[in-house]
Amino acid sequence: MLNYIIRRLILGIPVLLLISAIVFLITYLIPGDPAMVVLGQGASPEALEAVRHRLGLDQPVFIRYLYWLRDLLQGNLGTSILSRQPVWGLISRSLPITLYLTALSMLIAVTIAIPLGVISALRRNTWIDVVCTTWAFVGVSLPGFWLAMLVLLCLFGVRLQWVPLQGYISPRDDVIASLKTMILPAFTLGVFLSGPLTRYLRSSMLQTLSQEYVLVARAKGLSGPYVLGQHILRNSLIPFITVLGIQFGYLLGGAVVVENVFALPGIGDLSVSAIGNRDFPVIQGVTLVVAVAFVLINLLVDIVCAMLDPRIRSTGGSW
Amino acid sequence: MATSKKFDRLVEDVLSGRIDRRELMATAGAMGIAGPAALALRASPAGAQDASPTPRSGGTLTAIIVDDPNFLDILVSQLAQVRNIMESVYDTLTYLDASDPTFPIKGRLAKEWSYPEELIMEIKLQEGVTFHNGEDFTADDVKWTIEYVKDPATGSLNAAFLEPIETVEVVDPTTIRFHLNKPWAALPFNLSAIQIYSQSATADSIAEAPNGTGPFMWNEWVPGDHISLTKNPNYWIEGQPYLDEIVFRPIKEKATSLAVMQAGDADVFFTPELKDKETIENDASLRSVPSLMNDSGYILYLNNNRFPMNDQNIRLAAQYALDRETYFQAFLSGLGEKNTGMWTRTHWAYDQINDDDAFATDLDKARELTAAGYTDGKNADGDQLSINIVFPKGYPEFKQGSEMFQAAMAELGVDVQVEELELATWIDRIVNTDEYDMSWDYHFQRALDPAYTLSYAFFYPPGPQNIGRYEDPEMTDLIEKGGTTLDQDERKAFYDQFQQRWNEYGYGIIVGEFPLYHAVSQDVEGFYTNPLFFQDFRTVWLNR
Repeated sequence: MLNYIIRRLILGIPVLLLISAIVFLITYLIPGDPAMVVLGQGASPEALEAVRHRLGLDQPVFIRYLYWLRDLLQGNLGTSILSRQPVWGLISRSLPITLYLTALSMLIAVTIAIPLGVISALRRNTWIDVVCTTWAFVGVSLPGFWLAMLVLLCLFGVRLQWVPLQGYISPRDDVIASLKTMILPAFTLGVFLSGPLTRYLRSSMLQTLSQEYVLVARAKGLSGPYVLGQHILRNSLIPFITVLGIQFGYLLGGAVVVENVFALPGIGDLSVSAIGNRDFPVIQGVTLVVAVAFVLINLLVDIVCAMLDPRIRSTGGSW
Repeated sequence: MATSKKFDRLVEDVLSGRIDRRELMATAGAMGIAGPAALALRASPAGAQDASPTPRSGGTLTAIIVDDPNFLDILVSQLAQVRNIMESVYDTLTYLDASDPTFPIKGRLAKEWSYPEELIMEIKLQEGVTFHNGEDFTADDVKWTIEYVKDPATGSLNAAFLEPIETVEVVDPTTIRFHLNKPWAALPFNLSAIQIYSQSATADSIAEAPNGTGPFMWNEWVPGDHISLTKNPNYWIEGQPYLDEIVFRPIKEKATSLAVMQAGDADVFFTPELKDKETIENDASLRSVPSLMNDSGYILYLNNNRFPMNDQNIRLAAQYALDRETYFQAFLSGLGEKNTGMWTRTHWAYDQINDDDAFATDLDKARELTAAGYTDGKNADGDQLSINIVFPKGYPEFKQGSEMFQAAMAELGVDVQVEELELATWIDRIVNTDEYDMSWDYHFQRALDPAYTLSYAFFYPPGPQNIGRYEDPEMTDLIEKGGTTLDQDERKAFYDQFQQRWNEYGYGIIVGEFPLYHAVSQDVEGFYTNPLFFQDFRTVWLNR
C-alpha cells in the first residue's frame, strides 16, 4: 500500500509540470496583458511598452516560464505582477476559506443525500421515492446564482437579517459569527451537490439490493439494520465516495459563482481577479496548488475505497 | 419647505434625465424661480437638505469597490477603483468641485496661479503641508511629480495632460513656474488629474507604501478582503477629514453589493447598475447620489479604416438606424438622454446642432444611404455589406442596444454580427487588431474643458489612441485652435465648427449621456459624486 502511495505521488509530478506549462501557454495566448488592464483602452503603444517594462513583462514567455520554474524549485511561487503581494500569501489566505466552504457544503450535501438516497432505494416506486428523486432533480437544476441571490441572500440577509453580510469572518476570530456568514454559501452548494449524490446513492443501492449476498444475509436471519449498514450501504458507498471526491476537487478549484455572490475571498474569487488582470504568477500559483490538491484527493479517494472494500484491499499490492 | 422639496424632485428629474431643460424652465417658471437658480439651489448643501446639521468627527465608513485596486500608481492606472481609493491618499494642485453643478476648477495644493508671461504659469503653493511620512511638501515635490509623469518610462497616460509644459522651475519652496510650449486653456483642469507624490518616492514605495499629503493614510491591504485608510491627524485643511477610517471592501457581484447596502452592512456603493436606481431610492435607509453634471455617456466607435465604415454613407446610415430614444427608455429605465454632441447640455461648449432633431431615428433615410452604390448589399467592388459590433461582457445595455441595431439594419437588408467579448479581448480587438466595425464604450469627459476632452479622448486623432482610425486635418486643426485660444467665445466658435463637421462626416456615433451615481446610506453626509471617479471623502461624515 505504501509503495503504491509513493508511486502515485511521484507519477503526479510530471502531471503537475504539464499542467503548469499548459496554463502558462494558455495565459500567454489569450489576448491582453496586465499593462493593458492597468492602462485601459486608451493606452498608446509607447505607454504600454513602458508599463510592460516596469512590470517585467518585456521578456520572452519561455524565459519567464523558466524563471518561474526556477523560483518554484526554491519553494517560491513568486509575487503578483500588479499588487506585488507574494503569491503564496494570497493563496494561503484564500485556500483555507475555500476549504472551509467546501467542507461545510460537503457536510450539508452528505447529510441530505445519504438518508434520501437510502430511503428512496428501499421504498422504490412509492411516493417517498418520488419525493426524494424530485428533490435530487430540483437540487441539480436550480441555478446556483438564483438560489443564492434571490432566495438566500435577499431573504435571510436583507429581509430577515438573520445572517450578517459584512464579509468573511474567520472562525479563529469568532466561531458563531463565522458559521453564520458561511451557512448561506455552504447551503447553496450543499443543496446543489446533494442532488447528484442522492441519485448516485439510490442507483448504487438498488444495484446492491439485487445482489445475492444480500438475500443470503437476510436468509441467515441477520437483522434488517445490520444488513443495511454492513452489507448494502457499505457496498453502495464506493461509487458515492468516488463522486464525492471528484466534487471536492472541483470545489477546491473554487466555487466561483458562490464565492462571488457571497463575496468570499476564496480561491475562486482570487482566480477570477487574477485571470481578469492577466496576473500570470497568481494564475500559475493557484493552478498548481489546486492541481496538487486534486491529485491528493484522488489518491485519498482510492485509499478510502480500498478500506471500504476488502476486494480492492487484497489486490492492492499489484496496482 | 414644500417648495424646496418640489425643487429637489424637479432638479433630480433634470439631472437624471427624466425631464429635459425646457420642461424645467417651464415648471420652475411656474413656481416663480428661474431654472438655473433651481440648479444652483440644489448645489448648496443647505438647499439639498431641509436643515444641514453640523458635521461630526469620528466613525468608520465602509465603501464597496468592484475589485481590488491592484496597481496603486494612480498616475498610471486608469481603473475607477484605484481613483476612488487613492484620491484620499494624495492631494492635487487643483480640483474640480463636484458639489457645484458647474463643476468649477479650484485650487488645492495650489493656493493661486497666474500667467506672468504668455508662456509661463506661476503657482503659489500651500504652506505647512507635510507628507504622511513626515517630510515637508515643497515645490521640489511638484517638480519631481511633473517630471515623473512626463517621463516616457513611467508609461503614464496623464503625460498627455502635461504636454504643454516644457520645463519646471522651482522659484522657492512655495513657488513653482511651468514654462509652456504653447498657451493652453485647459492646463488648470489638467492639473486636477495629477496627484502629487513625494520626491523621495520610488517605484517600490508607490506600489507598496503610498505616501501622500492627502486626508487619509494608507494603512492595510488584505487582498480580496479589504483596504483600510486611516485619518491623517496632521491634514493641512483645518478640521478635515471627519472620518477616522475608510474601509474599502471588494465585491464583484453588483447584486450582492446592493444586498449588503440594504442590510446596512456598508455605507457607500460605487456605481450600482442603472436598473437598481429605483430600488435604492425606494429603500428608506439608502439614497442615490447622482453627479451634478453628466460626465458620462455612450459612444459607438466606428472603424473608419476599413470597409464598410470607411464609407461615409454607411456611417451616416448607422447614425440614423440607431434608435437612441428607445435605447435610453427601454434598456436604461429612462435614465439618461440622447445627445449627439461631445459635451453635456449645460456645458458652455454644447452646440444646439446636437439637440432633438439631430440623427432622429429614420430608417427610410438610412435605407437611402445604404442603397447608394450598393446592389443586393454588394458595392461596386463586389464586397458584401456586413457589419460587426463588439463590446465587453457585463454591460447588458450594450448587448440590448446591439440587438436593437441589428434588427433595424436587418430591415435594410444589412447583416450585423453581435459579438460580446471578454474585457481584455475586447481591448485587443479595438486597439491592436483592426478587427471591428463598431464598438460600444462609455464616453467620458463630457463635463470638462473641451481642450481636455479632445486631447484625452480615445477617438479624436490627437488623443492617445485613435480608436476610430480616421484622419481629418481640419478637425485636428480645430482642436488645436480651440485649445490654444484663451477667449471663451472664440473657443466656442471653433468647437461649434468641430461639432458640425463631426456630425456631417459621422466619424463616430455619440449616443447620449447619463448621470453617474453612487448609492450611500441615509446617514452619510457631505458626499458628492465625483463624475470622474476621483471620489473626495474630505468632507464626508456620518450622522449617527
